[in-house]
Amino acid sequence: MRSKTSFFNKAVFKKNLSRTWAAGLLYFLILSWMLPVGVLLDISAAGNYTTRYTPAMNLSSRLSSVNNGFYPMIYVIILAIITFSYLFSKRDNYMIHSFPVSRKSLFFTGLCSITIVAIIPVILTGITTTAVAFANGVYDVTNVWYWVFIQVASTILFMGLSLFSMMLTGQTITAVLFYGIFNFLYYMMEFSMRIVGSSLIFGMMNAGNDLDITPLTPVMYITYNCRINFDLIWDDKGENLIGFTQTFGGAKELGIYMAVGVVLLIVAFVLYKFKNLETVQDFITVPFVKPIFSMGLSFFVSIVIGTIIVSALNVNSNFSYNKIFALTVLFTIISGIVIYYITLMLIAKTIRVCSLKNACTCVLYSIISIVVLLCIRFDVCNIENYTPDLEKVEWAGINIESPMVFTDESEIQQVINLQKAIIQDKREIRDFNINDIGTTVTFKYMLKSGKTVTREYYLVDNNPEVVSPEYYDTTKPLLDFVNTPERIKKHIIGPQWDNCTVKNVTFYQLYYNEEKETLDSYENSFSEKSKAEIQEAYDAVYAALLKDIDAGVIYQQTLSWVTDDDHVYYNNFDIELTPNDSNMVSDSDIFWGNILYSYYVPTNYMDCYEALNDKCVNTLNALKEYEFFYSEDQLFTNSQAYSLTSY
Amino acid sequence: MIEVNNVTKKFGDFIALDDLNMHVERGAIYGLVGPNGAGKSTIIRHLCGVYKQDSGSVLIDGQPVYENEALKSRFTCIPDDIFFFTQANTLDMMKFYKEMYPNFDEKLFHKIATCFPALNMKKMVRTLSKGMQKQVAFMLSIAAKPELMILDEPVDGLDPVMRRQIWSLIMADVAENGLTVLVSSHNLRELEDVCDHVGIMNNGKILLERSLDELQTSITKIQVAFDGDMPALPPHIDLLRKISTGRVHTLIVKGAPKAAEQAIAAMNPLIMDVLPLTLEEIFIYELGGENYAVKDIIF
Repeated sequence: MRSKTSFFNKAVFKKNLSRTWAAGLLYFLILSWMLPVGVLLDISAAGNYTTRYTPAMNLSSRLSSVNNGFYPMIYVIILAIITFSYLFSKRDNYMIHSFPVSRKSLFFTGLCSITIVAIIPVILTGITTTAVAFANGVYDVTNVWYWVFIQVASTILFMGLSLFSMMLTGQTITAVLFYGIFNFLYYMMEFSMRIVGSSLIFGMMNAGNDLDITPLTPVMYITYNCRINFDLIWDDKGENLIGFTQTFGGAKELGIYMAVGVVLLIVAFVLYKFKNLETVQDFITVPFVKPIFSMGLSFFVSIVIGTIIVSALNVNSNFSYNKIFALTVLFTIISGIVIYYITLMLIAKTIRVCSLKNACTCVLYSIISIVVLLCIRFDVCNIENYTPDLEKVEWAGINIESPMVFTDESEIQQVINLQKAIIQDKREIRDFNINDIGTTVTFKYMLKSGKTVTREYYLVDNNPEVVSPEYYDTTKPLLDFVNTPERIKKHIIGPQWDNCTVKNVTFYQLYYNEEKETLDSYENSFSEKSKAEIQEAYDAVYAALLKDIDAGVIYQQTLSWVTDDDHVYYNNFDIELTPNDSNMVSDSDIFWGNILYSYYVPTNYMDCYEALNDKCVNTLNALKEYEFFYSEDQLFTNSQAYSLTSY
Repeated sequence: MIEVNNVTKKFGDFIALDDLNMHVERGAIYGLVGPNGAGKSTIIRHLCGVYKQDSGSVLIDGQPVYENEALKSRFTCIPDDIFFFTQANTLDMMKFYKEMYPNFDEKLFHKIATCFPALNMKKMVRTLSKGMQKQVAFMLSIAAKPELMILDEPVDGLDPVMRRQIWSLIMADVAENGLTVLVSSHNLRELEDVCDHVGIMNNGKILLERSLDELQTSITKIQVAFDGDMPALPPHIDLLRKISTGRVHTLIVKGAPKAAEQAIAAMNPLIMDVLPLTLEEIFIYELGGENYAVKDIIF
């Protein structure tokens, strides 16, 4: 007598395997090509390169590169679709469920066959890679089995996600679509909200460019964070490879992913158990998901559409903030209603969806959309007015033309105060248009918790004759703060501006070639001078530049992108400096987050690349005295250069 | 053997089965007839354990069918649109059925196969013609030695010889093993030949359910001619339909045929013939009251 509670059906299992084994074999061949074969090829080719890897390095390097969450993601959905394809065809669905096999057996037998075909190739790859490692004298294969663990954990998560997606719909294409959506759902939702935020939230104008990959976007998080991190160790000169380090990232998250995968499998089973089979080929088969899908998709897509339309209209019009908000609401609601009815049509598989009930839910949806947009408008989440507390900040940065990073408490407090002043004047500032002459000012804080807070404001030129006194009073302290000589030297030239060697000075003499009507440049090679004489010249120019900085005539940041072409020279000028302490970290590297990368290497140089102007008397005199140029005829302002070269 | 009690099934707002009751005795060949959209396939899907009813019970041998593996291993279903695995040939399907059905008899399968010499057992079933696919389905079903066979439009697509072959195989199984058969079909002439019980469905309900003999004797067609106008019929005669051509009147009378015959004979007709009704005629006349009668077409 057949058990009423069997979880496994041999006939179904054999049938499943007969349809998926080829995919398993192909997956194994792909993994084998990438790992054991790849490792062997790397080892055999290691001698051909200047950087000589040991077999252990080759293995670790390979394992760190062959780690892509997209492989198991794609492979698992293919297996799931093949195994449970009967769910999407009326004929197959009716027949398979009329066989003496329960849904429980069908589900768990299907799951079992997917698990086997998905995981066996990974384990076999692990075994063969281990064998290759042993054969090449590498006996620590923890990294190989950590890679296997990453793949298995990912597979379990994606199995849960794929079966959950498949139980929500009666169509193959929709199942794949849902699977993709669930993998990127949080990312897309955040992106939508950031797009709206960049338009409507003061200080968040660049929010759309600053997306983090969180564990809620598993396929990307696994790819970038759950991995074997492989780093080379070089000697102090950075010339010889002396070893490597490897760390295993994301073990905790992988454990959580596995648990989530199991929960999703349970939910998928419950959905299957209670699934009405007459819903085969329906867009959505689970009733309570239908309104969530309609409203969710309509809302997130419509806010993006609304924002894009208004941004496009704003390109040639100087809309005030209030007008932008009103238009965004209008276009969001219109596009939302259209999308809402399209989703209803998809769900009902008919274009006849006009009913009082649907109209009422559409009105409800529109009200929810307006409420959300009003919450943004009135800064319910305190995003616009937020500035971090001093004690929580590790460093604060300002970027106008060059990023500056401050770690001193009093300077951090000044940065916070400068941002607060801008926030206080937001009613005026948020009406500025990107077409006005101005620039983007970024405030960035690294909190002690490891999080960063970034706000960006478009500030127009603070010419007191044009702008309001309030605006002038807001922005003048900001410019005064960044334009002090000491801050310029420390934060723009570099923290070792006074502990460095001048390595090179470049200055182009310019000649007008009447025949060709071009400006030809020429750099003095100093071939007749000794090294000491050249170094003396370099040092003198650098000292003169510092004097000009002290005089406040160079490196002065403004809120205007317009250059004073009548006074700024076209001649190229650059001073390269080598810090005496090789572990120098520039403000730029800190501000842009380069130091957070595991492969970050200190730059070991500072660069003074700035256009000189006619007030840089000290620098120009030094350049002339040390024969970087010979006559004022070789100096051309931008205006002169543009007029001569027809720019 | 089959008990369907007060089963209701809705698809959205549409009521597919409306408080339906149906009973099939063990060993019976039960023909389920009804117009398109009556709900025949829906009730069959309930009996096969595919659909779950919104209310009521669907029992076979006193046990609910839905999700009952053990019970379902004792019966087979052949739907109108048959499913075979992609790439599978007849022998692969046979192996699958063998593992699915504990009573599957491989020898019997090969024996039945000799009845279908044109069938290539190694060819992918999905590439076979619809008729051949039906043959394969019957071979597999009969070899599973079920106690109950549920057939939805079973011989659709088969040529007359093959239909006869199939039915004779089923009848032999009924005779030898007491197989119970539930068959839905539009081909009433064929059902009349094989069924001993009939259920007529319309609008999600069973209108009428009884043995074919009883059904055929409960409705009578009487042709009469009178000298002059036809006198009024006695009130106890349940007249379903009357068709008059000149002085010849055809009366479809429901109820005890002898009593109707005697009552009409007492009216002194010039001639009177009592004719048997075909299942098709019964079907049409019974559904006449359900607004389904064949309408007279007037050009």
